[in-house]
This record gives sequence, C-alpha cells and structure tokens, in this order.
Amino acid sequence: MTTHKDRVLMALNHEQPDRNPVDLGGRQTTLSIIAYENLKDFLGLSELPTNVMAHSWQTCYIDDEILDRFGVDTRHIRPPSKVNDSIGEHLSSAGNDGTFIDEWGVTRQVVGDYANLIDHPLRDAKFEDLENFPWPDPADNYIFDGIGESAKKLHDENQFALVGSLGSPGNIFEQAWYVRGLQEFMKDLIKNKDFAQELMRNILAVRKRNAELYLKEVGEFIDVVQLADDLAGQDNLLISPKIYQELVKPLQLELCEYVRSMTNAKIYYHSCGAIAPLLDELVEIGVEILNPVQVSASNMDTSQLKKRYGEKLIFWGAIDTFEVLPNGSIDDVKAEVKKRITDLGTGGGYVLGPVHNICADVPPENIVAMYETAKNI
Amino acid sequence: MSLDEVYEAVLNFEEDTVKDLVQKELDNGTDPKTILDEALIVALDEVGQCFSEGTMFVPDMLMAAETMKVGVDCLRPLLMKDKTENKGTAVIASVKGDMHDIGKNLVAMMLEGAGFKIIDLGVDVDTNTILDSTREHKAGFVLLSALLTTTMLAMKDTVECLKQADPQLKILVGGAPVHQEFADTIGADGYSDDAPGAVTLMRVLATDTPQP
Repeated sequence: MTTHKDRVLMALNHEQPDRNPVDLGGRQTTLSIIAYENLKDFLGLSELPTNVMAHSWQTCYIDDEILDRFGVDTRHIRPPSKVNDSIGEHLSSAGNDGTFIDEWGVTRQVVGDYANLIDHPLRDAKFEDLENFPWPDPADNYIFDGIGESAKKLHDENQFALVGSLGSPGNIFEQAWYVRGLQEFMKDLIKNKDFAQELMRNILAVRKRNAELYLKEVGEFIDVVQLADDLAGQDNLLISPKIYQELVKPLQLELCEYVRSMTNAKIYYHSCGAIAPLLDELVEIGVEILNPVQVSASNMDTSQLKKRYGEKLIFWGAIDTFEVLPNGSIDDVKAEVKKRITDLGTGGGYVLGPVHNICADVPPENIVAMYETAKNI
Repeated sequence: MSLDEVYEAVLNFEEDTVKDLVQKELDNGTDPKTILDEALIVALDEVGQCFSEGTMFVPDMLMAAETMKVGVDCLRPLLMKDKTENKGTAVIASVKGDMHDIGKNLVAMMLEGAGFKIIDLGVDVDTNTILDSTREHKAGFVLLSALLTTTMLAMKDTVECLKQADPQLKILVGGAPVHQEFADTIGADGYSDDAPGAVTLMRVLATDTPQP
C-alpha cells in the first residue's frame, strides 16, 4: 500500500502517484488562528487546543486529528518559537492595542487575523549604523534542542514526508525591507546600493546561522526544506530582473548552497505573486520546488507553467485563496482542485495545498471540500 | 535643449542634477508651467507607461517620482502665483484597518507631480477624518487605498458615508485586491489597477468636474 510518504516522494520525483499528495499545516500552508477556530467548531472538534505557530502572521499548528481526517501527506518539522510565550506580556505592555516588537526590532500590530508592520528600526540608518545594529541570534528565538529527536521518530515511522522549516522563512530581500521600510529599501536598491548590499549580507549571516542550527539537528531526516522570499507583486516582479541578478541572487545562491551542503532534502522556495519571469534564475540557484503558485497573479497560468517548467520544477500549493476559497461555492472549490491536479499533477510533480495561509474569510466547508475532493480524485 | 535634459534627469533619477537644470531653465526665461508640463510631467508619464507595461519596477517609479518632486519643489513658489495651476484638490488615505501605504504614496506623488493638490492623511484612516478633511480643504476628490481583502471591505462603508454627506465628491479606489467590479458595486467613481492609471483617471475626472 502506498504510504503518505511514498506518495509525496513519487510526486517529487516526477512520477505519477496513486492520488495527488496534499499538504496543510506548515509555514504559509496553514490556517490563521481565527480560521482554525472556525474549522474546529465546524468539525465538532472545538476541544482541540490552538497552538500559535507564528505570532507575526497570526498562524497556528493544525492538530494531527484534522490532518489525518483530511488525508494530509506531510508533517512539518519546525523549531518552536521562544517568543510566543511572551506574547501576553508584549500585548499587555503595549496597552492591549496589539502592538509588539519582533526579534529584528520591527514594530508590528495585530489587526484582525493579520499583523501589520508599523515601524522599522533602520528607517533612518546610514551604512556605518549597520555595524552596531543588534542582529538577532536565531538561538535566542527558536528552540532547536529536541527537534532532531522528534524528526528522527517521524522519519523512522516512515509514514509521512517531512517538510522542514528553519523557523525563520530564510528570507533576505524581504527581511531587508522589514527592517528598513519598503519605500526606503526600494530606493536603496538604486541609489544606495552599498547600504542595501551590506544590509542583506548581514541578514544572510543570520539566515545561515539559522540554517546551521536547524539542519544539524534534522538535515538527515527531512525530505523537503523550505525557504521563502517574496519577490513579486500581483502584476509583476517587485524589482527588475537586473537588480535581482546583481544584488539578491548571489546571496540567495549562497544560502541555497549552504543549505545543500547540510541536507539532501529538496529545496522549496516560496514567493508570492507574479514570479514567472524569475523562474529560470531560481532553478539556477538550486530551487527544486516552487510555492505557492499564486494563480491569481499575472502570468501564473498553471497549464503554461507546467508546460514550461514541468521538468525543472515541482509545484506546491496553487489552490486559490484569493477568490475561490473565500468566495466560491463548494462546486467552485471542487472544480478548482480538479483543474490544478490536471494542470500540475499529471505525471507527478505537484503537491496540492492552499496558495497561502487560509484566513478567516474562508468558510470551513470550503476547506473540507478542498481536501475531500483531492482525496477522491 | 535643456528641457530634454530635465526630462532625461528624471528618467535617470538624478535628483541633484534636476534641481540645477530646472534653475538653469528658469534663468533662461522659460515659463515654469512649460518646464512642469513639457519636461517633468512628460518624464513621469513615460516612467508610468513603462511601469504599466512591466518594463519598469517599483524602485524605478519611486526614484523617478522623488526626482520629479525635487524639480516640482523648485517650481512650486512660481506656480503658486498662477491659480490655474491647481487641477483640483484630493484627499488620499489608506482605509481604516489598513497600514499599507506604498501604493498610496506613489499615487500621491504622481498626482502632485501632475498638478493636483494632495492632502495625504496616511494609513488606517476612519471615514470621519476623511470627511472633515474634504470639508476643510474644499477637496473635490477622495482616493482610497486598501491592500487586503479584509480591509477592502471598509471601502464600502467609507464610500457610502462620503457619498451621503457630499454627493458631489468624486471617489477613486485602488489597491491589490480591488477591481473594477468591486468599485462599481460600492459606488466609487473610478478605479485603477496602478498609479499611472490613477493619474489618467484623475485628469479625466478633473476636466469633467468644475472646481470649487
């Protein structure tokens, strides 16, 4: 009998599995806290606990009982965050307006099921200020002890494909504008290149340390390792391919090579938006799996992507969280699942999941319809 | 031709040069409005066109808009003397609950460059603040921005309240999740999917709308 793990590994090797594998419960493929509460109520499982995954994104872990019910083929290996424990303190010290400061010194504010960026510690910084900036140590923010043991246990059970998340997203470009401010950093890329480069080099050092701490524990047990760095918007790339090649790509390449030196897991890369123009570049730096395949963005037609990149890339995600899941009927959801499996999953090469974390605007019945349909095709 | 040089300086994001070039042009006796219309605005239109076509990107737009603003700032004291210069006053804001402002800032900068007076209320702005501001500044236009599908819904209430309070107000909406159909449903007067489009739309609306 095909196990969940076999199913995923076949898809990752471009072979046709018995049914298309599905994912849920990882970084950017999970539920927001509010959506999770709604889903638990709908399933009559309100008594299950809600454990926060990332306070900054208002996301949570999904209980195994729900993952099993949905036939989810993956399990995610993620170092627990140390910061979550002190959320209460953050919130109360900020007068309960939902404002908190993350490990980079970025001020965020929770509004609804989303945490906005409010202020940026390097907004007015000069090149020389970078040297004295308190770069975070991932060891202070995540608990790496013990994850090797639980990863080994799951690995030895041989049931599920194990997807590794470093703790941080491993983002460099994006983290740079979080600490600098989007508008300022965008201008830095043109008129203040030395600053932009030095800032991103420092962030790369933090990411490599994170990768080291994580992969020395679990590198030999995981099947997929996730990296993320959003480079595109709804209609186009955020920056030109030229700026990407000059300033961002060399750093991403260095990170991918470093990760590759510590694990044989396939490298999964997440960028929202209309990322199609950079896919050749991503393949060049060693990306093997593309997530989330934001089908609502420009030039992200799934049949075209499969035709062009089906041999070079595995697709992960692609169920529309923009229109179909929040606003579609159950029939719309079923049709969406069928379309993506036909477009992307023919001959393997596709793991199905939501394009992004499922938020409060998605009715629980649509989530159930999505996984039930995928199970039965 | 130094008008061409001003134009080129904007396209090449030369903030320091543009200031000198505009001054040089003024010293030559060129009408400030000519410098604005035939060099600065044309340059930003060109950048806007390239952005819409996908050959220029957010950093280019921001740099060009900023460079242009340096040029416009040199001209402003002279242009202020000419009352006809103000094409209209617009209040711009990201709606209640939405903290995102880069798209809104870009629209504000481009409109300012195109000769509109812009009152930028920032992010997370409630309807009453917007309404008070339109009255205080006698603004004929309101531009609302939202980046999230969740905050986009606040646009509906805001448009409804503003229209009720002042049916003459022209309201434009924009932001990643917003689309024409949504704009029509909530009774907005216009929608654009990018900043250059918002400028085009405002030019059309301003021609149709007598200014107070």
